[in-house]
Amino acid sequence: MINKESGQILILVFVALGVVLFTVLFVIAGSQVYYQNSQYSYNAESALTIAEAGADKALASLNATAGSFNPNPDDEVTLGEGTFSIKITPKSATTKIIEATGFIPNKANPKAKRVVKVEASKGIGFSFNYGIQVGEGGLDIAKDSTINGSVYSNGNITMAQNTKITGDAWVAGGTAPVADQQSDCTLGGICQDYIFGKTVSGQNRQDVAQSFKSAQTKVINKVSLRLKKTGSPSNPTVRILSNSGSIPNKSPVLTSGVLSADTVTTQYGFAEVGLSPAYTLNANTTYWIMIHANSLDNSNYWYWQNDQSKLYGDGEPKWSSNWQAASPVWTAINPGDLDFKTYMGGVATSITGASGVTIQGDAHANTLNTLTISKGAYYQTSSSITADSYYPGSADPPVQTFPISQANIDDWKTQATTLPNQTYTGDISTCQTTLAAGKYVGSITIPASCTTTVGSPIWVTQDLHLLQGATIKLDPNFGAASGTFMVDNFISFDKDDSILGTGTAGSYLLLISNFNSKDDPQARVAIDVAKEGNNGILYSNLGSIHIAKENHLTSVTGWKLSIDKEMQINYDQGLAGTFFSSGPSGSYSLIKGTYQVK
Amino acid sequence: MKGLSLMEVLIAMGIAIVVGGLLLIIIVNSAGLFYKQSSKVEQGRNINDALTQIRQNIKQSSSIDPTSTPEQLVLKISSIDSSGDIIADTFDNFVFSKDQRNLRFKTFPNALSSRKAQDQIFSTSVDSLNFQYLDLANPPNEVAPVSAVKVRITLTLKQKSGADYETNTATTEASLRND
Repeated sequence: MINKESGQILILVFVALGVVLFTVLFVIAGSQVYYQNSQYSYNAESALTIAEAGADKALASLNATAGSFNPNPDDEVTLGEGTFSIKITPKSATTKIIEATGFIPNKANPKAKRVVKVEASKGIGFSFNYGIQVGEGGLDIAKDSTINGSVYSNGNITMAQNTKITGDAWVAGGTAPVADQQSDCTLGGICQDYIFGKTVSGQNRQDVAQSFKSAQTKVINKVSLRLKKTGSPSNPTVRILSNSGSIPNKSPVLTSGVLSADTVTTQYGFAEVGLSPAYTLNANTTYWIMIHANSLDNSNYWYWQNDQSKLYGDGEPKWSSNWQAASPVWTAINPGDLDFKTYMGGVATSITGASGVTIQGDAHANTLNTLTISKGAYYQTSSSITADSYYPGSADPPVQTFPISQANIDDWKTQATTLPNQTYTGDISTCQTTLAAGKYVGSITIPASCTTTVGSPIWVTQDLHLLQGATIKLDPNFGAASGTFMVDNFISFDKDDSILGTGTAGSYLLLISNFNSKDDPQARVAIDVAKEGNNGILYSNLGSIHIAKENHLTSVTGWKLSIDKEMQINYDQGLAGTFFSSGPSGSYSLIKGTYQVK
Repeated sequence: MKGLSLMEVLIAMGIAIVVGGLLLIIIVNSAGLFYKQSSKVEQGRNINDALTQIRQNIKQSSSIDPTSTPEQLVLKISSIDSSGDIIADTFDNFVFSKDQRNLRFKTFPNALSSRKAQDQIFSTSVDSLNFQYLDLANPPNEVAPVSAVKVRITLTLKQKSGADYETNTATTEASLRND
């Protein structure tokens, strides 16, 4: 008899094979989808990077051609695995819209495409990160006064009876007023340029270092470097390194800080860098200040002033192409000492209160005395404080440098001076409806209830007095850009005076006093707000600011600040990315806040 | 009619058990491989898509909101008008957060913005999501969200795959271009 049940095992085998086949095919298909997805993500990221490179190229070309660069948007430039094209559209007389499109692999058959849109304008951007920022002169708050806002001070805060800060209060670790070590070719040496951040004579000068010997065993708080720049190099990092065999020891980094490139101009000036974390240097020991340029770029690079006569004598300068290499090669820069200053800390700073004194946010300082703190107390030493939480042993907050350097101010002065036919000599005391940008040799008084529309920059060589109800307003043609009004000596407010931007959001008029209260034998006040109802942005690198009565200000930055009554700070988020327009000769910079990916 | 001897039945049953067992092992292993690989592929795609979205939005953001935490990133991104142009000093909030096992993305547009409110889920198998807020130093230091210029994102997805769990972790960084 024939077996009618033959082949049944074969059916089972087919079922099993079917399952295996389905699994294998499904896994392969899934892997294929995953591969395509990953490939697309990679291509999209590459296209975005190429588009950003295109925007950088457009900015560099605008600066290289004094703003006349206007490429055909249909042109393609090959870069790496893809291409980019650039479209530049004028937005105003000083602002251009850059649209850079990245393609992978090309425009004709793109697998991925990304568009970066950003605005560039003639001028420079600054970040005012604090409503109230005070220098080493510190902050004094008189009895029964209130600050509505937060404060960052590099000097002591003293609060009399029944005073209040409604936000946070920070006091940085104290900094000695004079430099511990310095090299300065302007003090009788021979000054010369030392270029870095680009290739010079075949040398890839990305890292430059200057050695020094500390005179004291103390914490180093900040350094100042005499720099200038070409183009718009990005913020470099400054590190303090130990010495190993007459070269910088790459590890560990003892302390570091970021140099704000905005505070460096095309003219030499000392640019300050606050250092963090606190690190104690040993006396008579060699250390290095090392600055690392983020790239080698022939259009955007740095100059560090070199003293060819080596007046300093306790150090030497060297350069390297890669400080982090396995065995970094450092080459001597002969002869010379690069210009620098080191400032030591270790000066105990404090927030000192009295009865009825309240800080409604956090309080950060080396020493906290007689305070009621609504949130956290961060300190090393304390007495008579009550707080919601306590953090003894907290490190001193780092020194915060001011957003605008003396070099920036000098640059604006140069612009004001070089404007054609815009130097006016003599005092002005009648109501002027407009004041053009330029230099005014003398004093200006804005009469009561007078509104004056001003250009920027304005430089007044003596004083500015605002009588009751006076208004200074930036010319509306500046749009969203901001302007500066600089006064070499004293600024006085009366009552209900206003310092205003153009009216467009993001535009401000910055009132600057260049008076040096710090070194003035009579310690005179640079900016005096004698009565109430005033508003504006006040700034003085070395001057003291006095606020007598109830005022609503947008931002106050000064070497020293004293408050007699109530000061309300209405800090505007836009101040964190303020863009100051420059004259026709200025270079193009990207305007922060305008970067978009489409 | 001729029947089967006991020996034949035993041999046939033995062969059937062995073959059946082998087939069962193949099917079980195959199904396990299927679940495991499918899970890996899905997780990989989820991670790719989620991190790409997060990176792109970080790049465009003007600042990080102080309410951000290691498990929740709140970005302030410039609002746009109907032409797609930025409205000065006006911001939309973009929030990436871990909501139970979901990676959730929500937008809260400003009243002036032409962006629409969104509530999306990028992944449903999040085991952990960590945002680190970094400064510009090299190596970077962790700072408060409001002071950050760079964000490091670490995303771990975990999914049941057969009897086991499949875990996949990816890390990326992005800098704020508008800060």
